[in-house]
Amino acid sequence: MKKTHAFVFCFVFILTSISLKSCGQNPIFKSAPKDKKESAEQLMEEKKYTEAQVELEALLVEDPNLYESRSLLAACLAAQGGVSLVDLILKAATEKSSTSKATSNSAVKSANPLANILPSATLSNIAFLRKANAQMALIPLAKLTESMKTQASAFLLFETLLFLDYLTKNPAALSTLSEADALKVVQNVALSASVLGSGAASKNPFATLALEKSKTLQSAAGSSSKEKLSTLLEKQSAG
Amino acid sequence: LNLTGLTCLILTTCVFAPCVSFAEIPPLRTNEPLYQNPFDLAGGGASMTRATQDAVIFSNPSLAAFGAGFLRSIYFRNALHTNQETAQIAQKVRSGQVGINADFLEKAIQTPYHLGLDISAGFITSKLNIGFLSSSRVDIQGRKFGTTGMPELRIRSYSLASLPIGGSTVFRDTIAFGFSLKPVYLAEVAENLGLDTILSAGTQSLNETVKSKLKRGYGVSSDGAVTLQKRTQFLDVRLAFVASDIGGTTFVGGPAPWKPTLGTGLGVSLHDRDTVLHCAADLRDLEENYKEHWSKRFYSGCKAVSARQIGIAAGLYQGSLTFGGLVNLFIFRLEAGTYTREMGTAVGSNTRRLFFVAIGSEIP
Repeated sequence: MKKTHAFVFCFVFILTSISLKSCGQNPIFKSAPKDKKESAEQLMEEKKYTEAQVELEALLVEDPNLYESRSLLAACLAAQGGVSLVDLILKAATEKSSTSKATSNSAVKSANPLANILPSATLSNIAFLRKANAQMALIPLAKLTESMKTQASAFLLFETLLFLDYLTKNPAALSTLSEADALKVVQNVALSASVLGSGAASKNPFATLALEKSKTLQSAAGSSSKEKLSTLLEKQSAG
Repeated sequence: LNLTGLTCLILTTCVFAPCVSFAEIPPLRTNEPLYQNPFDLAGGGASMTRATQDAVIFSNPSLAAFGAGFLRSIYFRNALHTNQETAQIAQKVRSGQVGINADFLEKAIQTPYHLGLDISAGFITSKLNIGFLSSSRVDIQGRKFGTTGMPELRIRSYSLASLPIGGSTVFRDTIAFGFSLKPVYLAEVAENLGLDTILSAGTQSLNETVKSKLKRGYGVSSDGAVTLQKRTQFLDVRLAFVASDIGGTTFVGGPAPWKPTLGTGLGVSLHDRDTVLHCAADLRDLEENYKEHWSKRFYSGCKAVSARQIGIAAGLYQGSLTFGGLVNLFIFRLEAGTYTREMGTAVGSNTRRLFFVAIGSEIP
């Protein structure tokens, strides 16, 4: 009986030591989810976008009709291009409350705080957003959920805004832009404004920004899309 | 938690419990039993070979057959499981002060909210067990990248009421068989709110949103178990096999069905007349019906109880360390401790560090 008690007391001592050491700690080891999509979601939460992209692309090779995964891949690509919707929304809220804060993107300064916290207009970022939009375009219209529609429109808007900003900083690029490409830019903004501005989603800041940009483009002087763009970019440069 | 805060939280949950239950992807409950005793959770949740009395009917209905005498236990228990953040926000949610907006999303991304309340009562004999269980769980988490890539709030919850009945029998103190039937009334919410919904929710409160997504239904869950035992004067060894939700449990009315699972457990008890040290390991859902990594289905730990009055336990529950203790003063039993619950399908991907406190009584 004494041996049993001694053993139990030992056990209690060990338990206490473990308890004190483990207090507040999370898992002592990690395991990877079997589901590739869940794994990709987790990697994206941890900002491991390249690894998440590999997982999702492998999943889509197996089954190209996994539309939620395709939409997730689009978000992963956009994040690599500096556009994470949650970060933009949360930063916009902070920006709104401190208007004196310096903006990271002066060329597209706007009353809308979202416009002032866009990522740098580099060709690399624009390329990632273009890839994101290409992925969203592969999802049939009938399969697009409301969330996917909002995401697709937001990515289209941000790609266009970054491209406009790039043109502002590199005016020579405008001269090489065809009328068809210029028209596409104008149409993309209008399309984003139309989708984001409709229904219940109209209250969100993405919608406000898209509508604001669309209105500015429509009212810009010029007979062609290229001229309208040119006028807008001149105004932005002057501003 | 001070006393006022705790009271508010329990009241809040009691108001929620009968009418609200929040969701899934993966489901809030997967391979775990419908109910687990808090002290068993502190011992790593390995309860298949030696569950505390109020959990026997849920963990392994054949266990009641082992032991001496006809009447094994009459019990009542009230357990609260939560994290600190949830305790702070519960009262605001109930009064509709918490809105669906970017601010709440940000807070839920930083720290998910989790709340659980279990009320159990019943009596156990060597042949027949009858009980009552009311159990509620709420889990709200913010994700930067949701199911489709958009930021989202994942709201998952259930509330259930059940009147379980079980039977058991033993042969030569070596092999015991048991079964249980659990008629369940379940209300649940499984909803992912995308950023578009969050931003357009306006003044709609979280409370209103959750109530509008509620699904309710009835079902009958059945479990069967067999336990082998080898006893000596100071040592017991047990091996158990438990089939839960046999054939799957479907609900008339809309809630998602519960999948059938098979589990096995091995336990060793070192004891004398007053003190027992029980160490065990369980592996649940052997067929991987919930598609979870083995580390999330593995439970192990030890419990030491002296003179049925004081106990301490520690273990490994879904990849995280657990610990806790109990004090049993005959008509008043207090259990407290902590464990980490895994909400993803693997360990370490989506964890909640939870604290629990349980009060109740147990005779004998």
